[in-house]
Amino acid sequence: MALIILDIILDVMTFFFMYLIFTSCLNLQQGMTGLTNLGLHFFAAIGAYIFAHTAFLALRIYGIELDYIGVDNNEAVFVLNKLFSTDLLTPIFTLFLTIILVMMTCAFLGYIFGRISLRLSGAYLGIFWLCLADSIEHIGMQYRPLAGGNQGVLLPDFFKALNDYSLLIQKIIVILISIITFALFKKISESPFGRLLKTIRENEIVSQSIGKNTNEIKVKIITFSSIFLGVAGVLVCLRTRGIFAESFNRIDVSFWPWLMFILGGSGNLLGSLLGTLICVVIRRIVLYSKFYLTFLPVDIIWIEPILLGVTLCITLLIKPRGILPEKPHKLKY
Amino acid sequence: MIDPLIISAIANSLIMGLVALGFTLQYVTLRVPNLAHTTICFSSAYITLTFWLLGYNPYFGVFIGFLESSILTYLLYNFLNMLKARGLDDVSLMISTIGISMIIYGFANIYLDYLAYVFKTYTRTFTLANADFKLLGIPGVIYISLILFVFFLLFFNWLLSTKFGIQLRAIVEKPSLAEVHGVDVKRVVGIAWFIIGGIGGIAGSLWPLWFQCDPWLGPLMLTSIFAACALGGIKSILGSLFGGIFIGVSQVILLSVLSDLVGTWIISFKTLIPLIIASLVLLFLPEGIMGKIQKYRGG
Repeated sequence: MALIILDIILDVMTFFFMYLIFTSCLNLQQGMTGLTNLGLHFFAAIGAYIFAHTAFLALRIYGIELDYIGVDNNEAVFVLNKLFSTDLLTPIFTLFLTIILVMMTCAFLGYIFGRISLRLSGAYLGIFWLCLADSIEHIGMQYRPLAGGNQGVLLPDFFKALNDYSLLIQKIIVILISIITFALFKKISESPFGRLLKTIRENEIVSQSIGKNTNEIKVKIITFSSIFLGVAGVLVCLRTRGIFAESFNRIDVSFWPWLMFILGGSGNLLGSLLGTLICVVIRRIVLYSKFYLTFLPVDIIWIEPILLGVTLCITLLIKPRGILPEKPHKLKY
Repeated sequence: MIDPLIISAIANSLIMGLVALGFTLQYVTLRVPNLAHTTICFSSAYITLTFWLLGYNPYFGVFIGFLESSILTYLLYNFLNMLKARGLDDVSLMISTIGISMIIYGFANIYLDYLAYVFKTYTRTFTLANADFKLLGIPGVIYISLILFVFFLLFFNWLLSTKFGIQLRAIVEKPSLAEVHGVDVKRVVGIAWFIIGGIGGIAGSLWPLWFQCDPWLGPLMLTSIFAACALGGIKSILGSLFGGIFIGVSQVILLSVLSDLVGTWIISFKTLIPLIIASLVLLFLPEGIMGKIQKYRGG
């Protein structure tokens, strides 16, 4: 029983920390800079698609030729699991390389699309990102060589050599990366640069009048947060041990983080943390209850989007600034 | 016998034109993109399905679909007004419409599960093309959607010349000024939302009579409708109709031409066409075609 409870707690924690990356990025973009982004799943999907290719880099290292994204996916996973059970260095190297590649690609794409999207703002900007993200999700689902299409790509266990500790290590990695991201974003929000971002959000013309190149700053913010969104995509795949384009959809990867962000409090990272925690716990409760409410004629999983919508609307109605609203920054003299 | 491709193009463009019209009218009256519009419109498709499952003519769904969609849209309008009164900005209002969209999406799924449980049939994806009547070899949905399309065009033309229409036009131009002149903005816009929501509901209830339907259709169609409105000009009612027809035709005809040229694999990328158009228009022609024409004329 204790083991089951521990497993549930770990599961909730991993989920929480994974979503914390998304909400932290959203907080930086929307909460601090006022850059509306409804397509967080764009960079997460990019990260996942890159992972679909680099995950099997180990096959090349071991000198095995297999069509790992296509028909040989199961065999490739089986072979790699066998090889990884005695080797820890190669999978760690593969993972490390993946994360570096994802960070570089997402930074590049973030810079390009961030620059392109500069002429848009507010709702238009948000919908532009939504269109872009939906496009990439759709391409991933239809174009098999990218990430296995509708069937997806199964991944090997990168920490197979650690036997029973494999899952634990994966969860620890997710938690560590998330904590680093959160700490970094917190540092930014409390720095003079963070205050500059808030100035841009409140009044861009004022920032420009004091000589700040607001366009460059906006591009930097999009580029910077894109890197973390891409890494979050890799972490999602690492956790589910598979890459499925449909899991990078607008509800799970964009709308839920928006609810967490609004519920906690816009422009306040601690608020994002609280909002994420509340939403993750609610979602997990719904998921676990699915196994106990099998007698119902309807699938209980559809409660999730209703919960999302109802909570979002009630929060906007009762506490539009969130549970922990943004506080004015106290200068240290 | 008309080519099914032509039938698809006509039905798609007419339905999309009607839905896009509603999206634009809502935007110009409240200055908020209603991202729940397509979910509300296409939720009436389940009413059509229900009537068919009950053994009635699916066209009965059109009347109830109108009522269901107009009531939901009217409630949404009042909710948005409540939020607006609390000082929420446009982005927050837009996000709240996502919330409403998700609530409807969740209930739609539950309702379909319930229908499947009661009627012991598969309801996740459905089409009622076989239940439709045929006249001269052409499916009834073409006649009905064409008649409704022309009717609503004439109706709007008439409506805008009435006292109510003039008040609505004044609100579109400058809501605060219209209020100063004694126009009850909330009442007028509320009625407008009720009517346009209903029109969208009619379009949605006709959809399963030719095309396949599933609960994700509403949220999915958002980008297509947005592409149509953006292409025509997000602030132009005529532009949205044109955009809807263009996107509707291009999704079918352009795809058919492309599949002849590059292969049938391109058909699976059908939904990408409006997404690409929306992205390109937003970036390079944010005022849309009608906006560009107006600018060219010096408007």
